[in-house]
Amino acid sequence: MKRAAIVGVGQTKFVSRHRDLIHPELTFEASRAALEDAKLSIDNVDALTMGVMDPFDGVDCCDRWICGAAGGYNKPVIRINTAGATGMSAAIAAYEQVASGMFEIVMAVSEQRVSEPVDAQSLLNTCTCPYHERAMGGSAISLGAVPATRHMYKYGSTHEQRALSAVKAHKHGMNNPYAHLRFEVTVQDVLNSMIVEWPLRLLDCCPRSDGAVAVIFASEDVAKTITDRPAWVNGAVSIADGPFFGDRPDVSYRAALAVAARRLYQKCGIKNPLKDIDVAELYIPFTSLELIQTEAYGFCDEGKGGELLEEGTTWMGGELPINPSGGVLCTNCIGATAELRVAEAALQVMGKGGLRQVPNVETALASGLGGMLQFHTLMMLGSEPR
Amino acid sequence: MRVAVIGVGQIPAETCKRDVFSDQSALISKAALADAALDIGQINNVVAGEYDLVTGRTAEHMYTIPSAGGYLKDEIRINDDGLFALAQAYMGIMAGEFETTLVLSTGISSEGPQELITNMRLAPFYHRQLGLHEKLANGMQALQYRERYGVTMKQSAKVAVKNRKNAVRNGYAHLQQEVTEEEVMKSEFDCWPLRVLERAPWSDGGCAVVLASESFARRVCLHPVWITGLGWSNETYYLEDKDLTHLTATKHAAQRAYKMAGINNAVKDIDVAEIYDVTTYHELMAYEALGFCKEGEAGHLIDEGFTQMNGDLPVNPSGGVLSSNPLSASGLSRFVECVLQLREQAQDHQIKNACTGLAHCITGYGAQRSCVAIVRR
Amino acid sequence: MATKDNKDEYIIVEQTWNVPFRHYAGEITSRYLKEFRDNKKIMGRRCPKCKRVLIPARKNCERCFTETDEWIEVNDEGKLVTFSINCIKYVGMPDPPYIMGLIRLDGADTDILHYIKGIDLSDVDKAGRELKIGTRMKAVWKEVRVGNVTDIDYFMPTV
Repeated sequence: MKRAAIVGVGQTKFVSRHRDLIHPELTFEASRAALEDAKLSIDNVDALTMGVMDPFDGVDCCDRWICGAAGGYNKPVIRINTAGATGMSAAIAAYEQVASGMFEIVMAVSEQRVSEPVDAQSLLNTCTCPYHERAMGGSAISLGAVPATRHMYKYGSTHEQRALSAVKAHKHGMNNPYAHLRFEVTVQDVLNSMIVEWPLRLLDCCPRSDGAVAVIFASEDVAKTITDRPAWVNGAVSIADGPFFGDRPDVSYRAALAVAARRLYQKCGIKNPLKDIDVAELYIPFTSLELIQTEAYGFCDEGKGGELLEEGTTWMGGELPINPSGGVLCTNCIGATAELRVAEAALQVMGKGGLRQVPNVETALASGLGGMLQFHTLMMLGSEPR
Repeated sequence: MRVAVIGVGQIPAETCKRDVFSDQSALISKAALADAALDIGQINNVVAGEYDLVTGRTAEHMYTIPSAGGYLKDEIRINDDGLFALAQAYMGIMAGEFETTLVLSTGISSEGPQELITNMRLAPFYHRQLGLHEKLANGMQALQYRERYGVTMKQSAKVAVKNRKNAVRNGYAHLQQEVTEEEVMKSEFDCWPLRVLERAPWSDGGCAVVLASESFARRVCLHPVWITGLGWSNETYYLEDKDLTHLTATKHAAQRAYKMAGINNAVKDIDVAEIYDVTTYHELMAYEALGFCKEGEAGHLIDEGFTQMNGDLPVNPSGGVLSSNPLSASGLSRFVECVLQLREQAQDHQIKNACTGLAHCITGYGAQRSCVAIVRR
Repeated sequence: MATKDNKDEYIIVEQTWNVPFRHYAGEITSRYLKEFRDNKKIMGRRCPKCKRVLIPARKNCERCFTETDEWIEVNDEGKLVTFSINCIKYVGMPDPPYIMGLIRLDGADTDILHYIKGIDLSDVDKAGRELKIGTRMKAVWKEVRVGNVTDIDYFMPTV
């Protein structure tokens, strides 16, 4: 059992379509950037975890093709795929590999070219159960739309409150040079954008992005030799819920996420999440999920997610800024998205956030979300080891 | 600290289960839990080793993990053979994150055209459109190996005869009929030079393993089996860029696993090996990569009967992948079989006095990846 | 989606994935394929560290974790490294029998994967035994080329 910390982070620019770089080339860019950040060479890396979600790249088991360029030639490589949570699971796996004492330095690399399928939703439909749900045309957008309707009915949340999530994300995204969508929007812009799946409008939804991200984990002894300010992994949990919407009728997935959050807080000794956590990078692909997630994390009371947005608590300058990077609403590279949350949270702890840096970050939360709102992955990073 | 194997479970391999695939996960999980005498409530973490597309689903663990009892537990899915999932599960316990973990591989091959699915794993710019699939790559690899070292068709046939004979005594095996050298050498060509009886079938099946920390295992298990060595490695994806006559990833994986387990002389220190014999030639190449003999000498090993049930180092007493190939569970099954041998519960295919076992798997084109696990009682 | 009964009263739900993809080939691979299309040339990329000329042309040498930096033309002829003959009809795969081979082109340090034709396959075993590893092979280019590896129709023995 060893402590582990993040010592390097690398990411590509995220865009609608990387015309110039194909899958392995994008992966190489991210790996190289992370190694440069940590001032390491690939020879220093003992093992890799790879996060890619089939089949968005248009290649099944795409990791096998790209892992060589990521630096995995003749190294131990383990490939992770937990749907939307993939990138975070790859990070958790890398953390476990270091914490186990098996390796000193492990790099988690996630890549996705979501531009490859002509229509990503037809692919997301292949996630649904072929016996019961696939024929209904369910897609990832349903995952945001169905709970949105329920939340409005049960707690009286409004379209305007939800729109604030998008306004905030895009405002924050302006500070992030790597973000995909970089424009500001107003509440009215969101409410005027086209309906994608009622009640969600275009600006309630994330884009599809191409890009890659790499995060380097090191054991305690090694981490201290690499940087004075690593981001310590002070807790990581994941949780599985069932695959069927119908099993979770009441604002879908909040219950399981709340359980996961409680477990994480217990591990890290967090009593009052709003006060104890300085910044959060959360997997929020649809505005509706920000309301539900902030409630599940205990940042506000049940049903009060909309008010939390209105009060400004989770905006830059607030008590607990959520997604200074602009988050998933600005950049969604499916299999890499959740690892990007870890990378951004690590940058905050390491003080490398640039324009998007939140002052004096001691504790940062990152999350991933996959499957039918069913897999939650959480990681708590700190400036001091637990 | 060590990690113990306190339960294993499997379901019989067959051509087609004709049942909802995730229901198989429940059966596998229950079998392993029953073997460990644990309640699902005592499991902290579920690690699945499963592929996408193979069953026509994206993210198939969305169904298998809940079915296996993963509700509100930690979970992760390794998108590769279950033996890699076992390695990750081992590290989760060593990291102090979990006391117990269920490793799960639901191996259902019957729901889709697996050759086409392996074609979908190829880079779209150079390889996909050329009609390549994994069996063809195995054929190219077999030919190159055979020509390099003068391995004979008879030697290849002997591997099939050995493994298929062993499978007759394994109630969980898919193909339970003996074959003769003559039959192997006259069977239909699949991907020349490989004949149908020289390569693995597609099977439906699956298996699961319950791992526990040493302290937990001591409380619940009288005779645990210990994981003493683990190694895995990855070489290049590009068939164009490697010497196909060596299982390089296996060689590196074995070196790591042997070092960890303190094994200096594989032949002397290992009592039983379960090898990923996706073709007869791959079993022979694995003998060399695992250090059972020198390069190019595997043919002699099979001639001498060295790896027969009664030989010095029995290989695949279960019948191996040539007899049962539940995709994604085929490597983890090798591990389950080793554990059964060490616990002397392999019934009719039990070998005598096995203290140390080796489980091996390869995945990808040209055996790009490999994992090797060493278990000891 | 079609459903039908089977004899044993188990329902089989039939599904087909029909998902179109568009793969942008990027800077390096585009050039590689444009050379096929426009000039009937096979261009490899040289790694500055290990000096190997890589086919297919790649931007990264994975052995050295470097970027390749030089285009090198290789011959469209070379030696057969290994092959296999597909003899069974598999769903979605070409009709058997067909030969898939790896050829080491003159001037390259890795092989090229392609179909091999010009061999009588009426007796597959005879054909396989007679086609020797090391046989000289030459690319046969298509008349109409579109920027795809299949712009080479196949390789065939030079004699």
